Amino acid sequence: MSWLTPLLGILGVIGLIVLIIIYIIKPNYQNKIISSTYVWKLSLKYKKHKIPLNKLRSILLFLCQVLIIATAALILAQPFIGSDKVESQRKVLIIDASVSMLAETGAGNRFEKAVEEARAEVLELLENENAEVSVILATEKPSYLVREAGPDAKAQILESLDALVDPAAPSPCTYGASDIPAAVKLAEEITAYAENVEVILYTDIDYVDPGEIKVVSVKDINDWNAAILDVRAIPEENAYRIEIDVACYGKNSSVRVLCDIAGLNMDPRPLTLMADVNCDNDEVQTIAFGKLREDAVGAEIVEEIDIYDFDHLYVRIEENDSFDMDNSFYLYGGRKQPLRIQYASAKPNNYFGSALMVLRNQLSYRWDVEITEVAPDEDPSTEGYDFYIFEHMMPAIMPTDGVVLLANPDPETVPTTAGFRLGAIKGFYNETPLAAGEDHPILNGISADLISVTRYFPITSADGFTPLLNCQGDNVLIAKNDPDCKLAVMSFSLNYSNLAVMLEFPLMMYNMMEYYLPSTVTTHIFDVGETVSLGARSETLFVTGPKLEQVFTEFPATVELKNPGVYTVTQTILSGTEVMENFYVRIPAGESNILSVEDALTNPVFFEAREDSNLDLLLYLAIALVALLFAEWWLHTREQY
Amino acid sequence: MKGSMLNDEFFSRLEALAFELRANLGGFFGGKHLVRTYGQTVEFADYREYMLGDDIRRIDWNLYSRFEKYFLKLFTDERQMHTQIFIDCSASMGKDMPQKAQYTVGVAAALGYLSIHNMDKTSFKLIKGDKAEDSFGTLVGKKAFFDAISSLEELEFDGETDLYRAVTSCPNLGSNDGLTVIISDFFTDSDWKKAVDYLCYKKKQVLLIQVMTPDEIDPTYSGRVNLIDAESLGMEDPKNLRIRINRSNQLAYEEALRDMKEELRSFCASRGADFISVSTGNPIEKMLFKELLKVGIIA
Repeated sequence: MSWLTPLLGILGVIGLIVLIIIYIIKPNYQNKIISSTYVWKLSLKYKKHKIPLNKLRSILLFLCQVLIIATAALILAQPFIGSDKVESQRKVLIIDASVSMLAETGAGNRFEKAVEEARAEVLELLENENAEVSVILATEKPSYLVREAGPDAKAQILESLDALVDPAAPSPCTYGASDIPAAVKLAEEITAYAENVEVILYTDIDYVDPGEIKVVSVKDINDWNAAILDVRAIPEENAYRIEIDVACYGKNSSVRVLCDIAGLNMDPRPLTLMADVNCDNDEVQTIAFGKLREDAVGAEIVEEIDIYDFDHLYVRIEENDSFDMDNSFYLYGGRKQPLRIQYASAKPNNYFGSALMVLRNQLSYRWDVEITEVAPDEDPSTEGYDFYIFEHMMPAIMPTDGVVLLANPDPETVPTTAGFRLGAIKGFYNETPLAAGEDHPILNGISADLISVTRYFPITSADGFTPLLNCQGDNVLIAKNDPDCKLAVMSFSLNYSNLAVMLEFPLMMYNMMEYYLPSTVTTHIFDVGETVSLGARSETLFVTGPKLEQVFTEFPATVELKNPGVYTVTQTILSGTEVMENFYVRIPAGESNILSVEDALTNPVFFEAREDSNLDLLLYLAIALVALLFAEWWLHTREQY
Repeated sequence: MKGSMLNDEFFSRLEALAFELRANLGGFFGGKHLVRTYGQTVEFADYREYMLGDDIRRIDWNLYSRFEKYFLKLFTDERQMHTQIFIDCSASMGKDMPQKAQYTVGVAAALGYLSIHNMDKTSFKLIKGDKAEDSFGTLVGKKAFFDAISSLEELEFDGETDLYRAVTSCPNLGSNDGLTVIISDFFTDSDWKKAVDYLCYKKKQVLLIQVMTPDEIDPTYSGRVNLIDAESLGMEDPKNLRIRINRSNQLAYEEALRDMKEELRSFCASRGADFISVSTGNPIEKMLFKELLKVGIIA
C-alpha cells in the first residue's frame, strides 16, 4: 500500500496520539458534595457482577474512537494499493537539462549529479535481461538519447550518458528553461503502449504533486543563488530611471549590486554606482538609480543621479553563490540613433510638416529624429540625410545616401535616368478614388479607395518600381527598394487630393520609414530560447555573439538565441557609416530560482492496465468510518442508559 | 442552620393530633395517657374482691347488699409519658443541606410539641459523636418547649455520630416511661440495631424516623463524578468515592437504598418498634398525618 499524501497521514497520526494522551490524562471527574456516600458504597456490591461488561463496553467505546480517528488519518493520507509492488522492468529516465541544472552543488553541478544517478539506475535495471530503458534529455526541445534499449545496448547507453558530462565536450544543457511537459509527452510514446513502465525525472524542481512520476531531486539543501533578474531604463521627464530586480534564493543575505554606466550623458568616463540590497525569503527586491521626484512611483531611489543618456549599463553582483550565470547583466538602448530628414518644397505646405511631427513622436522610442525644412529659395542638400522629401521639385542630383520621396515632381524636370517617366497631366471634375496595386508594406492599414485625387501625372513607365496606387489604371504611387536606390514617387499633389487631410497620410509616411529604415531590433533584452527578428538598412547584417557569428542578407532575418550574453549587430547604411547595435540575452528569470517548487507535474498517459491495478482504498475506509461512527454512537447510547 | 418552618401556624396545625402510645407503658403520675393499670380517675374500669389492706372507702356497698361480699370498684389510670427525641447531628444530616437540617429539626419539634401538648414530658437528645447531649433537659410546658425550640433552630450539624454508643451512654434514659424517637438518615456504619435493642430492653416505645432528601432517594446526577462525603475530612478521605454513574449504577443505588430501608423496617418490626422513612421534599404535616397515622403512633 502506498500513500498519495503521506504528510497529511503523519499529521493525522500525531493528532491521534495527542487525542489519546488527552483522553488518558484529562481530568473529567467532577466533584459532587453529597450527605453520605454510604448508600453508593452499598450499591457497588449490587453492581459488581456488571462491572466486567461495563469495562468491556468502555474499552470498546475507547477502541472505537481510536479506530475512528485512525481511519480519518488514513483517509487523509489517501492510501492505495498500487501495482508497483513488482519492480518495473521498463523505465523512462528524463534528465532535466535546463540552465539551473548547471548550478554547482557539492563536487560537481546538478546536471552531472543527475547523469550519475541515471547511470546508476541504468546499471541496476539492466541487470535483468528483460529490462528496457529509455533516456530523454529534457532541453527546450526534448529528445530521446536512448530509446527502449535493453541489456545488449548497455555499453552504448552508458557511453551516451558519459558523453553528456564529458568535460571536453560542450554541455548539452540549454541556457534556457527545459520543457519538462514536452519531455513527459515524449515519454508517453512508451508509457501509453507498454505495460508497467516507470518514469523517473531527475531534476532540481520540487513538485508538490508529482503524480505517477518518480522525481529524483538533485539539488542540495545548501545551494543558494544571488541573481540579477532584470534591469530596466524607464524614461521619466527626459531622463532615465534605472530599475534593477535582485533576488537571493535559498539564503537571506545582503547583496552588493554594482552598476557601471558607460557613456553617461556623453561623458566617456565610466561611472560605477553601488548599493547593498537585503534579500530575504526569496523575495525579489527592486532598487533604482535616477532622479529623485516627489511624484515618482515604483522602486525607491537608492542613489540620486541624472541619467539623460548612456551607452550601456553593466550591472553585476560579486557573490560566491552556486549559480553564477545570472550574476551580471547588460542593458543597451540608452542612446537613440539619429535620423535626419530633409523636406524641400517649391510650394511648402503644412501637410508634410504636420505628418513629419507625428512621425517624430511615433519613432521617438528608437530614433532621435531631426527634421530640416528647406526654404523655397534655397537649394536643398543632396547628401547627409537619411530621408529626403522633394515636393513639386526635383533635386539637382538624386541623393544616394538616403531614402528619397518625390511628391508631385514636375515631368519636365525628371531626368531620363530617374527610372520612371511621367505622362501629361490628367484632371477630373469630380474626385476620383485610387486603387491599390500590389500588396505592399507601405500600404499597411491604408484603404486606397478612400483616397481620391482630381489631378495627377500618370506614371507611364517605371523600371524596377513596384506600383502601389493607381487612378483609373494609371500608376500614381510607385516604390523601389534597391540597395543603391531607395525611392518612392507620388505623382499627384496633396493640393489636389484628400490624402493630406486623412490619417492615411501620416500612416503612409510611417510605413515608408518602417519599410526603408527598419529597426534592427525592437528591444535590447531577450531571454535565451527566444527568436529575434532583425531588420536591416543595408544589404548585409553581421551578427556576432556567444558562439555565434553569422551574416544575413535576407530580411527580416531571424536568429535563435541559444546562449546568454551580449550580441552585436553590425551594418553599413547607405551613407557608408557602419552602425553597431547591441542587445543582451539573459537566462530566463525563472531559472535563477534554483530552489523552485511547483505544484503539479504533468503526467503521461499510462497503459490502462496499470491504472486498473491501483486499488483506491478511500471508499472502503469511508465505509469503515461510517460503521465505526455508528458503533461509537450505539455504545455511547448504551453507556448512558 | 438558617431559615425555619417552626412558627405559630405550624404548631397550631398540630393541636388536633395526639400520641397514641402503647398501654403497657408505666409513665408518671398525671398526664393523659390511659394505661392498663388502675388508677384514680372517674372512669369505671372493673370490680375485684376486697383484699386485706384495701381502702374501705372504695368498697361498693351496693354490690355488698346484693352479694354480701366486699367488692372494690376499680377506675382507669392516666399517666404522663416522657418523649425522648434523639437527633442525629452528624454532617450528613444537614451540613451542606439546610433543607434536610430544617426538616429534621421540624420533625423533632413537631413530635415534641405533640408530647407537650398532651401533658407529657419531652427531652431533645442531640447525638454528637458518641455522646447524646441533653442540652435542654426535660421539658414540661409550652414555655420551656418554645425556649428549647428557639435554641434548636440554631443547631449545627457536623462530624460523625455513633448511634449505639450515644444512646446506650445517655444518662437519665429511664425505662418504660414513654416514646423514644431516633431521627437520622441511618447512613452510618455504627450499630444502630444495638441501640434499638437497648431501648427495647429499657421498655421504651421506639420510633425510628429516617430523613432523606429527594436527591438521596433518587440521585439526578450522572457521569464521571467524585462524590465527596459531607462527613469526610478532605479530598483523600476514604469516605469519598470516585465513580462513573450510569443507568445501571443508579438502579443499583435504588436497590441498595430499598434494601436498606427494608432492613430497618423488618428489624424494627421484629423488635416491636416503628419505622418511617420520610423525604424532605414532602411537608412535615404529610409525615405526621400519613406516615405516623399509618404506624398508629398518632391518633
